[in-house]
Amino acid sequence: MSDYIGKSVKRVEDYRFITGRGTYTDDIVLRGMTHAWIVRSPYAHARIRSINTEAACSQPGVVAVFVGQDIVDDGVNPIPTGWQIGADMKEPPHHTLAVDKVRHVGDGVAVIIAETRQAAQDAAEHLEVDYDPLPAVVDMEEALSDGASLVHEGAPNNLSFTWELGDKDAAAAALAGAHHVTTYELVNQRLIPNAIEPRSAIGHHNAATDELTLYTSSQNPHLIRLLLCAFVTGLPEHKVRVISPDVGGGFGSKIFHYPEEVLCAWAARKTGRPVKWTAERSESFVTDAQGRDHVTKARMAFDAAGKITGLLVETTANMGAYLSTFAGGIPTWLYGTLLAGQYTTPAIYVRTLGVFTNTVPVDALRGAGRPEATYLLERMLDIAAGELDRDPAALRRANFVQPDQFPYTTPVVLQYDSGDYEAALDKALQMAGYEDLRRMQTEARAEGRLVGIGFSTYIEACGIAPSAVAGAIGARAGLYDSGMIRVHPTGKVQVYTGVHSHGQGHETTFAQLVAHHLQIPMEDVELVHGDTSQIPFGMGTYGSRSLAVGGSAIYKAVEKVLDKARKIAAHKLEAAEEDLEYAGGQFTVAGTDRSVGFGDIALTAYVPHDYPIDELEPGLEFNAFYDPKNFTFPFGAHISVVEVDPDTGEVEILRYVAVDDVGEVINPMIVDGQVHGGIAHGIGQALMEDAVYDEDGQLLSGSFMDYTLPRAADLPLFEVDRTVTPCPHNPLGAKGAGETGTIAATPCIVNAVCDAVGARDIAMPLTPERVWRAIQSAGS
Amino acid sequence: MDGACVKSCTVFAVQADGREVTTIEGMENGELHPLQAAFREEHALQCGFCTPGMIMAAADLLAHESSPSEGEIRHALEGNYCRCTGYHNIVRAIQRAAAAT
Repeated sequence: MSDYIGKSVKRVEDYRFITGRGTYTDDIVLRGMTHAWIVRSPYAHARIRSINTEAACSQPGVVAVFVGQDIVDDGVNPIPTGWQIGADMKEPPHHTLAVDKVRHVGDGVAVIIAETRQAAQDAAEHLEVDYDPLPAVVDMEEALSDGASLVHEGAPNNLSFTWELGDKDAAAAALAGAHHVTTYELVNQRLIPNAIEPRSAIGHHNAATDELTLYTSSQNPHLIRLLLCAFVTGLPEHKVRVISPDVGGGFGSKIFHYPEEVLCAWAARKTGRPVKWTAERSESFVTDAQGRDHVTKARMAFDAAGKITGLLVETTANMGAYLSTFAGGIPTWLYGTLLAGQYTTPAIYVRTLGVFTNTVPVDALRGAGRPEATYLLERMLDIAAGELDRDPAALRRANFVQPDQFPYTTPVVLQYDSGDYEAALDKALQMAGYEDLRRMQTEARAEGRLVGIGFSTYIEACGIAPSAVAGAIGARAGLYDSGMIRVHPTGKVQVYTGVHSHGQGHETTFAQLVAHHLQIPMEDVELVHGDTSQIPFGMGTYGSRSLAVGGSAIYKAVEKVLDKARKIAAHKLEAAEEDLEYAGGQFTVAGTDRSVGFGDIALTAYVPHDYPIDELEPGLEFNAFYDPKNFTFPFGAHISVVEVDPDTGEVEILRYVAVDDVGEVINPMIVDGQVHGGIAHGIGQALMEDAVYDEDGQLLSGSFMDYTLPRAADLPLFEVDRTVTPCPHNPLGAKGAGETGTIAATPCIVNAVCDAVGARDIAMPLTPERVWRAIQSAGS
Repeated sequence: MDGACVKSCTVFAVQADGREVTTIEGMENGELHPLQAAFREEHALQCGFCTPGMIMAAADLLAHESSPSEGEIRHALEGNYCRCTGYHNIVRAIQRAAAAT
């Protein structure tokens, strides 16, 4: 009756969304609520000479106008970054609103608070900002050059940090002694996250209780509260409540602590009125932290048998104008450590420079460092296969870490927990019908059609852990999570989690998990998340950590509940604990028909008339924290088939086959959905998406007219399946599924297009023009 | 609006004066509309933010074409973005609803 694990249970959260009853931050209306409109810089780099707020203040409906200095004068500190990369990292202040200079287009300079959004927006027309424009630095190479304009005076050469990992001498020696060296220079272009719900925040100060409530479209309400209280405002943490209600997609962009959250919280106290801000779509384009943006040079060494013997990588990573919350960690620890991929490369060295430019800050975006590492490796494997005249699948296979090598320690410090890379590749090849595909490709070419096949065999690292390691690599946070189970007297159960669902279906998956192990109907279990006044302290959702870390915490709490329930049952049944069996929601004395149900035990715990009160407290409620022993390492093999129109360069995806191994699966339907969405995001980067700045730092692709998101007609139906290699170090065996598709799909598609047109490389995104040009070059 | 699919952000309130407007809130009529049920059955939503628009666009399609092809469905959704699902299950849900009605 309660066998829920591995079942595609329909989602319990769906009803409210399919009937228009979802409650996102912007849906919340508070009594006396005011509306904030932020005046933003039209310049990428300028000194603020003066701001005249007088005329704006006198506009109808205006409650208050504040500039950056007002907030600083009130004792509000800059927003810190959460990841330290080396002792010398330059971490210039990021103020809530710009104080001395604006450093990117969209940088906030003033806020108008008014009775309506329209009044605030109208009043903004009357705000006078006198700017002294400065030369903008946009290109990273230019930013690093001597004499370049400085984004921050405290960061010479616009360098935030230099980071390196691995053995440079060993990698260099491998290259020097190689049978073959594949070189590759690439740009992993900047992306704009574009969660469909624009960011939103409401600050509300209750003068009676002195409690401040911040509603915010965040992936991690406790992290926001901690940063807001401990670093930015100094407000006492117990007087601040952060609520992340329904959140319309995050993809990383809603992890970070943003100026608008500080602004709404601060202004609500200052004005005595609730303050709401919701981004316009055009604001999302210039204020949501963007993703990727690497320029990389790499060399990969091969021996005569096709084994990779060394890899040397130099990456310049754009940080944008300020260090966002996790910014430094992404192109370093979440990138360099992944450069072994699925391969036994013995010597790896990577160096990353983090560079400031007058562009929107860059931080984690779905995959976060791992797509960049995977793109590099998987493109290089395909390029090398061409150069060595090897089949790309065979070349990968020759380099796989073998199942008996786990746990496998890479030269870039990770210890892979478990894997069977050939099994996933074999399954993908079988699903794709690889030999037939190659035959079909040959026939198509004979007819003048350009058909290509692309591979991607990837590794991912999820659920950064343990906390001690996170600390050692500079994360200014623990990376455990929490779960609490509250059994009510009638046997109904509420589960409180520190992770947050913004599309992942936790309300369903976690209810399945708890109902399965408590052996009660799923309808009797409800998940609570997203409100710091209800849930135990938790680190939120990113890096595909929710089930592996948050779910494991919940599992630990379930064990505690069952342990106590067993004691109560033993008392009621006058039997020894070890003689009890738990099945079907009943404790039964082995070999007898004497039993007591979970509901009776719950009632007894709260009405302890007949109860071992000297040995056991009343009640049935447990909290657990879980700090994982290691990352988890999902992996898989993706194969795509594309056809390119030789006249227009347009790419059509004929097939997309994905075999992912995310460990044990609780709800296959939800995992498949995560994979689908991830693949779409990865295809978006490969073929369409591109954040383009001009030399003055203006974002040219700052609207949906200019920034191409994948639409329904751009994508095929996906063929997805799994292998299951359980994670050996968490109680669920789960690895994480949120990012696999994004990580795998980008190189998979680019590899296929390059194969189709016979090009060594085409710069992303592979627009029809670029593909057409590649066809012309290949043909000439 | 009056049976035509429009976007709330591109229609002024005065344009809706005296017209019949159906939104996602009006689709459930004692029981879930077949499209709503199909979206749930096929896991055609994740964060839910685009879902009302997707269902209304699909309703408009099915009003004009009772058994659309996969290509017609994808084309009909060209005005609606989803960042979560990759559209796979949205297409499936619309096919399911079409078959059920």
